[in-house]
Amino acid sequence: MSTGYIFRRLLYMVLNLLLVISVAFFLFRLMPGDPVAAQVGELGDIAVKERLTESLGLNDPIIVQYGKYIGNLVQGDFGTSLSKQTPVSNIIFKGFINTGLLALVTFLVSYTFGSVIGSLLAWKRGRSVERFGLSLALFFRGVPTFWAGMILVYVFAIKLNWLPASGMRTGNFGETSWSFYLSMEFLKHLILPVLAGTITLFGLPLLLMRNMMVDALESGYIDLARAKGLSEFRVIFAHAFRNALLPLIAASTTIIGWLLGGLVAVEVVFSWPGLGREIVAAVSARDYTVAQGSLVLVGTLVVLMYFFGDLLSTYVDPRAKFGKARMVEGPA
Amino acid sequence: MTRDDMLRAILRDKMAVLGILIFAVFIFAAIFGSGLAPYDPQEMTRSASGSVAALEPPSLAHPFGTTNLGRDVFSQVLLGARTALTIGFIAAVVGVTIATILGLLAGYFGGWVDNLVTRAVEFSYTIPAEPLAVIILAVLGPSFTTVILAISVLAWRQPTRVVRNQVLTLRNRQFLKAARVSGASHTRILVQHIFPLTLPVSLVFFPVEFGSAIIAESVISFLGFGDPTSTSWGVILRRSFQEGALQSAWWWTFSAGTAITLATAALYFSVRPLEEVVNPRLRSRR
Repeated sequence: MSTGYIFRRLLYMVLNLLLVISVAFFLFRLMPGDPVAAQVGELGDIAVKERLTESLGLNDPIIVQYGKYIGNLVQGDFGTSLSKQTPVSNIIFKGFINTGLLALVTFLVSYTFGSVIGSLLAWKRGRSVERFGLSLALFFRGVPTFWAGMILVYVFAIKLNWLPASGMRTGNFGETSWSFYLSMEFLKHLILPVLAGTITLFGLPLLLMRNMMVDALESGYIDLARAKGLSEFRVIFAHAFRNALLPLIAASTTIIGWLLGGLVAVEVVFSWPGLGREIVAAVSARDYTVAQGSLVLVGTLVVLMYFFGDLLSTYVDPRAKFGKARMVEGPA
Repeated sequence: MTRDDMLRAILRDKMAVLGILIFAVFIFAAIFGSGLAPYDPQEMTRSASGSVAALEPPSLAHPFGTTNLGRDVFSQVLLGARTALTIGFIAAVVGVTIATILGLLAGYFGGWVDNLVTRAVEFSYTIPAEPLAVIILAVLGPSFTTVILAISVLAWRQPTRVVRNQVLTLRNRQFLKAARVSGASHTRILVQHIFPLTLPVSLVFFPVEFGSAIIAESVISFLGFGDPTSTSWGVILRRSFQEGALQSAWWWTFSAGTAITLATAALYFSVRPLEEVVNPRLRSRR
């Protein structure tokens, strides 16, 4: 990896960041409806409205507002929520942690499950179990995630009463400290939303892994490993699996990026206090500072992740071209 | 792979044939649904005694049961097929067409054109898809056209990349140089020589994006940002969720979701045997 190469990627990353911020900023300026009126009420006191408009800086030319917004962002200031009168950063960081945890655990579960099953299927290539497994994986990719969540709630929360149906905690109050995220209470609430995400997501690593393994298993070094008399288990997991894993790692940043924004409806089904639900609520309430901030936060993280993910996969596998991971798309 | 090869590959695969048959049922429902529906989807149906037939479990009169307002779920699901298939079809056509054009231009001209398209695809993956669709609909207001637009924004990214890569493999082939030397214009080379060879890729992506668009439509409607005037599977699920149907009326939630799953999975299955068109590495090894 040459310095010039890293530098070029860095430049693209900054451009991407700027684009994300610009899209977030200007999209909400196009939104119909007066954000001030939405907070004060259409019939509110004109003087109050004017004061609020002035204090939000909405009287400035749009370019000045844009400049100020970027200037504040650089200092970590996302503005003030219009509907809740609290700093946007408080709202979105809290939501982001909850969404991030949900996304990360969903990712780990579906990737582990998918890649193990995928390599087993590649090993059983041509048998009916392979055909059945692949068909099942493809079928589950057609299940809408949020509906999978509803069915899981029906079966495991309502009929069997094994697991909680919604929220992150029983009773929905109490201080959320870091230790809470390790408590049984939280884990119990996490199971169903994670399962819902996994149902639609595991097919992707499964198919990817199966294809890569099919490819790997027919390479010369596998013949050599077999000729050396290694056990089939070692051939599969110590040789083929490790090589087939590279593209899977390359694709993982895309999947996590997709998950961060792709679980909105799941969050709604499970009343999960995440960022996605926050965005939907903010858009409906015309609270554009919160919606804008959420988009910028997620966008920034995804851009950063892609950057480091790309660097990593080029480092691990010099043959990999930049952005190759973006060949794979999560389910819509 | 020629067109005949593609057809033969599909017909050899039982699951693909099953997928096509199931999807044919959905197309049938989409075309004739309004004539076949036993009730108006908004009608408050009544039982023999004259009371509103609210939250009735599946029966002969109501194969998928009724809603809390006595509406027939079967009629709603039947009519939802038209919404899902129309929106999905148009969004997939728009997405794949844009992708084909961009992919052709990027792959053929290379240089800054390629750079621009590649960066655009990269950028499109950084903004979270579902929130973006919701915001676009909030800005433009929900309607049939804007829903299609919001979904198309998601449907062009993957095929663009694959078409571009396909063009790259063709770019330096002899017959293109020959065409160039004999004076063919860029447009002619692109349309007459390269496009027919990338068409299989676009065709394979069409059902995939179609299926994803059906799911995207259901998500958008479920979140309350869909076209308010149409009967859609996502709207059925939204109502059932808001009315707490999971507690009292599983059939209300069950049928619409099954419809989405079957339609989408059928589309995915129909092109499964053509995977190698998109993924040439698998080709020789089958």
